[in-house]
Amino acid sequence: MQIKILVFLIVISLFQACIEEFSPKITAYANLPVIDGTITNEPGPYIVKLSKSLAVDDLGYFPVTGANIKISDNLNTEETLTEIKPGVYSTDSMGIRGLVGRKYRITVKIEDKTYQSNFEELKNPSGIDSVYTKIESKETAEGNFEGLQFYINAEDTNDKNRYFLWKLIETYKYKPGLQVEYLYYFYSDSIASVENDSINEFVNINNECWNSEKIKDIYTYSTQNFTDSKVNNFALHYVNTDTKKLSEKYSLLINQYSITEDAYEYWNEIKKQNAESGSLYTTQPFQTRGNLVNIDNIDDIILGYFMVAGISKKRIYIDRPHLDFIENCVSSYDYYLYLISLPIP
Amino acid sequence: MVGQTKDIILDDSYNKLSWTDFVIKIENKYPVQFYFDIDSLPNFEVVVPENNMAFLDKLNKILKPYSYKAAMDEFGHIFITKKIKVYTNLPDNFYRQQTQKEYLDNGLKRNDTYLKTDNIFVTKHRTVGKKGNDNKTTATVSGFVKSTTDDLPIIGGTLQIKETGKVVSTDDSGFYTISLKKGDYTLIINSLESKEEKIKIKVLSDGRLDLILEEKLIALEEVIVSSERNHIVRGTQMGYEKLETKKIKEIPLVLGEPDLIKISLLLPGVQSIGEGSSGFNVRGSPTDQNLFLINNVPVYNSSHLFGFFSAFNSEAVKDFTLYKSNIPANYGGRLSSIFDISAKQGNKKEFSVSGGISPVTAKILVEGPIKKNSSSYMVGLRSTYSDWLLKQVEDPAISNSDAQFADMITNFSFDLNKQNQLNVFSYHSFDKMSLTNQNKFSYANNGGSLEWSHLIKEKHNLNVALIYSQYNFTEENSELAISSYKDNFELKHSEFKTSLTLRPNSKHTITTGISSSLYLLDQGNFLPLNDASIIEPIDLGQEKGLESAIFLSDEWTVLPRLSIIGGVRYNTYQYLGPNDVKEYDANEPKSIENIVDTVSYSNNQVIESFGAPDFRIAARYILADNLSIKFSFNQLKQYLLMLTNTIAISPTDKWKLSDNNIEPMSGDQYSFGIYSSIFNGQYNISVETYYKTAQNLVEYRDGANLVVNETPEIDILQGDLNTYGAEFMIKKTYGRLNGWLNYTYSRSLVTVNSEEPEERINDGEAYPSNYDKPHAVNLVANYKFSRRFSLSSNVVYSTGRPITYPVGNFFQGDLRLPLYSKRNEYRIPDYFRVDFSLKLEGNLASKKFAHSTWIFSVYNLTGRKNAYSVYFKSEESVLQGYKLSIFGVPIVSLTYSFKLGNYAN
Repeated sequence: MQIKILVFLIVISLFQACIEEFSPKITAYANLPVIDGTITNEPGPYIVKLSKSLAVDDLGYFPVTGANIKISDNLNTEETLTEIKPGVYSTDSMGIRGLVGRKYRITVKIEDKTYQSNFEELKNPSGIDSVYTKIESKETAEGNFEGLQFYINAEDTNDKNRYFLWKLIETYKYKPGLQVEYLYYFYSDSIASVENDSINEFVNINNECWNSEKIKDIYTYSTQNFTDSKVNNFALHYVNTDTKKLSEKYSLLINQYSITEDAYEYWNEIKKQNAESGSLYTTQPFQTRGNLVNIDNIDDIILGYFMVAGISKKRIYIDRPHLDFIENCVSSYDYYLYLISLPIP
Repeated sequence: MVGQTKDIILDDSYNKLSWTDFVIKIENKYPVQFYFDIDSLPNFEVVVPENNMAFLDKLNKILKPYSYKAAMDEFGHIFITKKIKVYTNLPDNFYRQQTQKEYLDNGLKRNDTYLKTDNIFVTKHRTVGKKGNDNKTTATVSGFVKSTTDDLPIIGGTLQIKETGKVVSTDDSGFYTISLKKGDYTLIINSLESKEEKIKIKVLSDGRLDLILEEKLIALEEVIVSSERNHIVRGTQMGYEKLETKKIKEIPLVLGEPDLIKISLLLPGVQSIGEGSSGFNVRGSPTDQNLFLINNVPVYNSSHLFGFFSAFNSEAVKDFTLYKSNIPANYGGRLSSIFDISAKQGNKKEFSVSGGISPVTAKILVEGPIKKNSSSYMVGLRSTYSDWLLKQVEDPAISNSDAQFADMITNFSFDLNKQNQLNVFSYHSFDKMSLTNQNKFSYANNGGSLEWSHLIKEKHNLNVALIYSQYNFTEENSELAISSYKDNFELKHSEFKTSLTLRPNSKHTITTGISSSLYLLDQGNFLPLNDASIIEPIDLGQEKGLESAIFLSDEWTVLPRLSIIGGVRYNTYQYLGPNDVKEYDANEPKSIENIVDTVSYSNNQVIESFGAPDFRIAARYILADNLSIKFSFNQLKQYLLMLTNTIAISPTDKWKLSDNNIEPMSGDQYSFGIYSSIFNGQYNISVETYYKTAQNLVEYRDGANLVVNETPEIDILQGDLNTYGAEFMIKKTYGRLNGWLNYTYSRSLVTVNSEEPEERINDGEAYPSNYDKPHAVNLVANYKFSRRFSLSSNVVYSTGRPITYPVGNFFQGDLRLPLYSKRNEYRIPDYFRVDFSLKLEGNLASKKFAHSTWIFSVYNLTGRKNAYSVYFKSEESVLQGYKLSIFGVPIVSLTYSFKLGNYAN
């Protein structure tokens, strides 16, 4: 339940409900295997990552090598994955293929322990009708900024698939916001001014950066209680003008997964726990269980989810918006120092 | 008026004395003073008449042959005058204000038909009955105890016979009855609102003795937080707290709003999840195990504004009692506590208005007689005006929000005659909130009761009550146009309750009765809010249940030092049609797949039936005058539960009846305590320990969604609750400095185990409940500098509540996610708070139009940011912990209240 009561309370009683960073002392440490992989109706190779959980304040990553991982379907097709990097296992590009309507499962052997998921059906991908943006303003810790809010309209015309998960990747072009005045030539140990026209041209061409990032937000939606399986005007990512992302060119790639009810519950619970913990009416958080179990010992836990999903994609491009909107964006640049590698003249 | 001074007994020893010897003898023996003209009055020989006349009548007869007359005033002055009698009293209508005269009277109602004797100057000496009326050796004395100021009954007062140690208490109408051997006794009367009174009584036969007690505030130069005096030692009841709202107004509270529930949190064994959460947890039990009653009307949502205020206007409340150990057999239906609130009865003598303004609310109370001295009305209103605050804010999200709440209490009481009283009571409360115009809630409680109490043969009591209570809420959510919805809920409770209290002899007080409650629940409809919404409507159905009980209990004084309350209550419960109920495969965990059948039942057809007896035993043994031990065993059943898996109760939590898939809860409690009252009752010290178990406690599966749930039984896991603890309390009941200090050690552990691994929580191992707080200390202190100026402070400490923390992190889909521990393995930081308040009373002039009071209070003086919750978020590949505090700064408020009349009125 979403009750935005906190903001509300701050005011009605003229007191301050406050939220501050806090790190309780937690000495316990659970060391559990974690699976992270997906099979879709897109051609492979399909990647499965295997790692171990770490202590709360440990920001590292601990890959698990040497495991035996197998993806199989309900028609007895199976393939053992190859470890291509430590902890990263891949199918062969010519190997097993995700097909709509078939059921897939994963079997993971780590030393003498065997973990397995149930067969889950690969759902028909649902269509993306449209993705559009609206200029909206939102409060951030740094102030109130305008920005672009992305919305999606989607529909499963068969009304069969009722669970949606979106994963987004943003790509944008930007200028480093740094004026190059001199260039340093390493080999000749000399410095040239950009006032030299040929150098200026060179700098202008290369003074342009691209970046691509996975968006670390969880977007799920269920049409379980609806007559039609329709997603109307669902808010996805929001980009504000406090970043340089919208300064030149921006593109958002939407991966829409049609997932099973179990996968929806898994992701939705993670989303809920991450988003709603700061309200008055929270439930106690709990460990969400993935879809793999130790076939010999139910108490031995493996984390993570092997997702079986139909996928559809859409990419949308945003050119530099109109000037008065971008003004804020440009003026908020800081000066950065960039090292530019240059060809030897 | 002054003719009934029978206590000066003129027997034969006065006969034939000379007048001067006669006077000297009387003056030596009694606190009286004769005034006469020694020169004109002859020193004749006194002839005492032999009949049964009162003293003054006899005296007049003695003087008659000499044409002298005698009169006596209330101070014991006897005036002997020739021919003309001195009037020691002004005519009744001499002063417009009658109250003062009645006060001097000590309110002793003189009605020769039942009150044979009393003495206005030897105020502490009264006689009951007539001599030689019968041949019995015992007599029953009964009567009403009332207050001088407002003529209202004093409820729960105790009357103790000093010589035998026997204690009886007054009932809801202030009535008491006590059986004694004929003879002389000292009667000690105590109550919360009046000062201790000692009266010598002479019991000659059955008779009536009405007592009118002075209010403490008038009598003493101090405020008394509570004075049960010897009650704590001599009463058989344990684990119980009775507080009068009038006496707790100094206690500093959030935004200066006196609040019964928040004050209860300062008592031992009463905890809450956190600031701003509704309800409370008594001795480690969930909030839905408390029964809130106001004049017998059950209240199903006891809070306003999500829980920041309780739904009871303290202005209209006389007192409240919290039972947490041995619950009297006439109560049932909840496992953990009964919170019994008595609304004020209107003043039967004069019209009065009082009211107050605090930063969020305004309230007013109007009361007065309908017919003087026999019937009265009382109407208490409270409403918030917090809305304007929201409008001051520039942020549209907030200025588009609003919050309203209001409540009303009305109480009409009628003394039909000496034997019959009628009370008509109603209670209403409503809340309406809209958050950023997207989330709208409204909820309301409406209830009423009609009670008739009848006195049989001046010692037995019959009470009959008809009770109705209704609770409903609606929620509208339009955050997302396509999934905007509305949801509603309604509970209707209709009850018939009757109890008969019999006092066959001096050793027994027997209470018996029946009660029956019909519950009608509408779990509501989940509906699309408008045309844009594509929500599929869901009807969550209706429920009907009938809970009935028959009870019998006896308070038995076995020995002067030993008393026992034995009680039995037989409960029955039927879950009734019409309904379509699901049946699950008994050998499998409950799930949609394991529904084997859906069975339709017709109207009033019994779907499931439960019946079980509760045994309740309490015993008290007095070790020494000021020291007693008590033991109790208590059983209860509960057929109604609240569907909630949030840590604090939310305004959209629904009630649910036990049914064919959800077993009723049952609980047992053992308590043992030692009680002492020292320094003439100035300090009450008690240690109380308990062990409590509850079966079929309702817990929920991880991640259960209870908002729209057609099969809540699938998400419910029933387990056991074990709680135990020790409560230490020191209470200083009066003096310039008064208040209490308590420390509680307690644990509350839940076990949910099953043969099916899916139906276990924490692998079937015991874990602390959400409200398990092992250590708690509360200090409430009030210091009275003068009658006009006082200072109060609270100091509150408790262990942080249990919480589930991450014990690791892992990567999934490029996110760093928390790996959580088992349920409630950790605790949030400890809670500590200091509050402070100053109270200034208006001047103490006795003749003034209105009296006003200012209270300045600071809540959370140190501004400590107490954690309400701690949570973790996955942010930019880092797991960040956050602490949420509700009142992280000192909260200052000023409250103004007024009433017509003077300080004491």
